Amino acid sequence: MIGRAALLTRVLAASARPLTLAELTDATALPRATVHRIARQLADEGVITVSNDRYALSLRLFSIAGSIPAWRVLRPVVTPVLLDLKHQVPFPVHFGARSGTHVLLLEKLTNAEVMPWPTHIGDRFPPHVTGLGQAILAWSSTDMVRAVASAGLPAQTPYTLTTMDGLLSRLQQIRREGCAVVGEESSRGLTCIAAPVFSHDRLAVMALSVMTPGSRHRRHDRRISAKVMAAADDLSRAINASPSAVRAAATLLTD
Amino acid sequence: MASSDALDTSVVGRAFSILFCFDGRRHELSLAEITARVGLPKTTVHRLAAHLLEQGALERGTAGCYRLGMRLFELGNLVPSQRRLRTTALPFIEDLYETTHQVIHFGVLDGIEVIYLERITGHDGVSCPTRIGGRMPAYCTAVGKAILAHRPDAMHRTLQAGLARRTPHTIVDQWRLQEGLREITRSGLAYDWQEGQVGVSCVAAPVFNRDGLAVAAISVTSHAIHKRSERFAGAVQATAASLTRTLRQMPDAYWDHSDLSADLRDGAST
Repeated sequence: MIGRAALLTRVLAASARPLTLAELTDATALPRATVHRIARQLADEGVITVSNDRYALSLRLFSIAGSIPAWRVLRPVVTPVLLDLKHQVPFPVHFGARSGTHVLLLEKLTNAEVMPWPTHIGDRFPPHVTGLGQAILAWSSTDMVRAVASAGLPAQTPYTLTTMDGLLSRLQQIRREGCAVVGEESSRGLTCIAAPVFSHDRLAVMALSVMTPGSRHRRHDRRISAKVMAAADDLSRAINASPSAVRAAATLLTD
Repeated sequence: MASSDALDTSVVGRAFSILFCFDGRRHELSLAEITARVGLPKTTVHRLAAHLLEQGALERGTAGCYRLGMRLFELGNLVPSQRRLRTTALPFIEDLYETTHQVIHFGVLDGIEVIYLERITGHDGVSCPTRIGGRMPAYCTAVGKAILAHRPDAMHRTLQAGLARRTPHTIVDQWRLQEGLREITRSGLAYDWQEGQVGVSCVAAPVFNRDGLAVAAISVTSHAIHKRSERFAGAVQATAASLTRTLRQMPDAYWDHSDLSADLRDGAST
């Protein structure tokens, strides 16, 4: 029952517009009567709204999302550092954490002037194609890297690292340089520069990054990577200065 | 069939009552604490919690406690109504931050409360307990008053619900609030002088959808002692106007989820 309610919620979350009962039935492959009953129950709880016989998620779930400790406690520490970084580099700034074998985008800042970036807070990415993911993996246990690789390393562009060996030698390079420079491995024309953020130990679950337009063949701007690394160090220090932030960061480690 | 229906109803309802008992003040709750809060038998709570753990809606915390799971964070951020509006607004909010270096709030009306879709603060912002996804009564916040001033329906419901004192400065007199809202309608600017929280003052301007309905507001929050809210008024108003202009150019499909809540929709149709 809870599984079906969760399925219905996920279908509504993925939809760009409110859905009719027929559409919900199709999308969930559940009996129409069941969908109707669960939808009504979710509406009773205020989780979804019904208007003109169309169903949509309400802001109630958004409110719950905002009370997750890792977000509630970490965000006030993270955002000022990201704002500083964004002030120095005129590109979108991201902050993410590993969640299982994925990277979860926890914060994103952008300007009106820069190109619109199709990422959203709450998005999940495969770690091997992103700067955030590679920066985190470079300071993760070998077991974790293996777990990510065994989940598959699908190519998103011709430059994506699709082999364990390729990934391992990249991670070594990242450890040497202190930051990840990921050129066009998730999408063409986009280079991501990321550095790890540490809480209680020398394993990273968090990272921050700057997304810059540019080909992987162009030599990357060392001034930008220096700023990314400095911001990541600032953030590590800020988190470690706050016991509640350290505790919140620890909640990210669920494995 | 009828009996299984009643049983099912309670399962979804009970499952959510467990999620809703995490109020943000306590991040982790033990089984006993959840049981006490939801008023269900311990075995029922234990069984439901196991299902919620399976779905990633709950996670295991320290010492056998439970906490809300990151899956909920993902799901909540997918809620289409907020996602679209927030994505459009974010660059404007950040530019307003760059101009003022104060705490910036962006909120919508949900019933007679304000719910914050975005909140940006730097190192030296005034401390206030608001959070993204958090709620405040509309009548004692600048964001709320900026919207209420253009929404007679919501104002009416606010007055019906009654005005409670939150600080010594909260406006609890109906006539004074209505007079204040009329002034806000005229000037396009809403002020909150420590009405929601002592030590904090805000200035807000409303954001309209393409039908001219006030759906959101953006504010600058600063230390009340510095009395600087008026200085930020121009920047706030310009930002709200730019965002309104951008929203007006959005295609039809953008507005499919523009009804942020059932209340908002009811308000729009009356």
